[in-house]
Amino acid sequence: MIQLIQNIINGLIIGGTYAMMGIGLTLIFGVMNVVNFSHGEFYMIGAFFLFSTFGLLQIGYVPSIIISLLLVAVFALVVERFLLRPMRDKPLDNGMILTIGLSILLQNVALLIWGGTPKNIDLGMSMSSIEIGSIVVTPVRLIIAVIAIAVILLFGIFLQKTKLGTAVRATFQDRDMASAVGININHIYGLTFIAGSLMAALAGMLLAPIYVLLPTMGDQVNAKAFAVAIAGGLGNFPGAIIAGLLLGVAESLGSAYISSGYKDAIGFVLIVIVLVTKPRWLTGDK
Amino acid sequence: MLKLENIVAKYGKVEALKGISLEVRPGELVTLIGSNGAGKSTTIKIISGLLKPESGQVILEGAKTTGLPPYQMVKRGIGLSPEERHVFPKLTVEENLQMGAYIVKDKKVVRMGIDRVYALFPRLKERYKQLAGSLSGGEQQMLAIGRALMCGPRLLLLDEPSLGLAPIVVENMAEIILELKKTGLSILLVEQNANVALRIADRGYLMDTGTIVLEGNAKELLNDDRVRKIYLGQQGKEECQGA
Repeated sequence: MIQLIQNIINGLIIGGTYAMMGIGLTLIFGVMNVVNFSHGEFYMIGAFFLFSTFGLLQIGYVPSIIISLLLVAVFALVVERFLLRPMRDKPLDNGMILTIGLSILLQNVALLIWGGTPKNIDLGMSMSSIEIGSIVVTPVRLIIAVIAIAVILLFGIFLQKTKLGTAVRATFQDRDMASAVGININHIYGLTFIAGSLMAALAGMLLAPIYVLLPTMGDQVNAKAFAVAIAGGLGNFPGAIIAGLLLGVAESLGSAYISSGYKDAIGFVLIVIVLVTKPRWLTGDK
Repeated sequence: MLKLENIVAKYGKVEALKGISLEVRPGELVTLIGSNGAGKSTTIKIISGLLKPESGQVILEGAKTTGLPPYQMVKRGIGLSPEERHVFPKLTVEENLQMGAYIVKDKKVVRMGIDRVYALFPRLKERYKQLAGSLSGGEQQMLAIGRALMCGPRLLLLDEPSLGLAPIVVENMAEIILELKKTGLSILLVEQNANVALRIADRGYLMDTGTIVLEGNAKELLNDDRVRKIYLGQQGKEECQGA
């Protein structure tokens, strides 16, 4: 029983970062109608930017994260302005081919800069575990979970409660009409892509201390982000949160009770189940 | 207030407007009537910036605004209540109104605007927390008009405000449009329901397959044989069927 709870908690911690990935992807699709195959590469560059700023500047983990996030934001802005904007109003495939190309490009540029040997970030933080009752959590994982939850909550509040967030939702629901009430769609698109990409990058930065860094690390995560976004209903924000947590738990339980070899297949099983059963919260029917 | 000069508009290769010119003078209520596919809504899209014309000029308060994006047109005083309402279905009534005032920075002004809309449409006040998608057709129409008023427009574009409404509600809507006119607002009203539109308007334009075939004083148009034959005749038939 304790083992089960332990597995669920481990799953929820990783699931929080999956949810962040999925939210980014689902938001970019919902608002911009772009299927972003390079989403995982933003996760990857997030982790590598952190690796470099942390290693070179020696200014500590948190300032390094902030600088890295700023760099990713600038990069996302450039991608949106010069690559995605010309694809707007074109068929969906154009954007897909573009982001697949961008994904390959980014992986290879990363390979050029950082090389193919696995890297890791040593926080020098105590790896001794915190025990809560009989449940054991390492401090790093606890911090990851807390930040992931805080970011998701803050972002949810931003979308629900602020004028700009409401404008994002309005654009999502009816782009032409949003423009006709005076919303500058270009700003909303730029903001959406930056926010979505920062979600992915931050997930990469949070997981960097516990995973190894490779230029191809985005591939696997991208598959998971798609699983989360599809299972949660494309464009559905709360759906992505639930699906992300669900995927994390399912993976954790799957590797504990079935085989860790099947861990990465679980996301796809989830997609199949959701697409076959088409639950109501996914299709939006009442 | 507004002038269109020789506007040509296309959807792909199909010519929807074949060089139309029209004018709305300050404080005037002008109606654009015509059957389905005549190009009325396309004209509205051109004025609000949702569609760029192939050629021709849009002149708003003396300045050329041809081809400007919609959000720029809002800043220049255009309020749009589009065909089929297009309320934001998953925003609440009040959020829809707030979005209508997106360009207004001062929160007090927004609040006053919302209260004014509620005074005009008390039904919206009762439902301010409801999602717009759950409103009835008539309520959504009120919301679409209310939202268009929120930016403090000088020219209000109303596209088919009577579409899908019960006859009593249509009469109600006509009264509200007249009331808005009294506040000094210039209004361009697009309608298939020519009878009601011509009764309340100052002037009218009759459109057919992308051209303006007739224009003039609304009262004259109401009695014009061509208008009667094409539109009011249909109305008569419907009334017979109703009886």
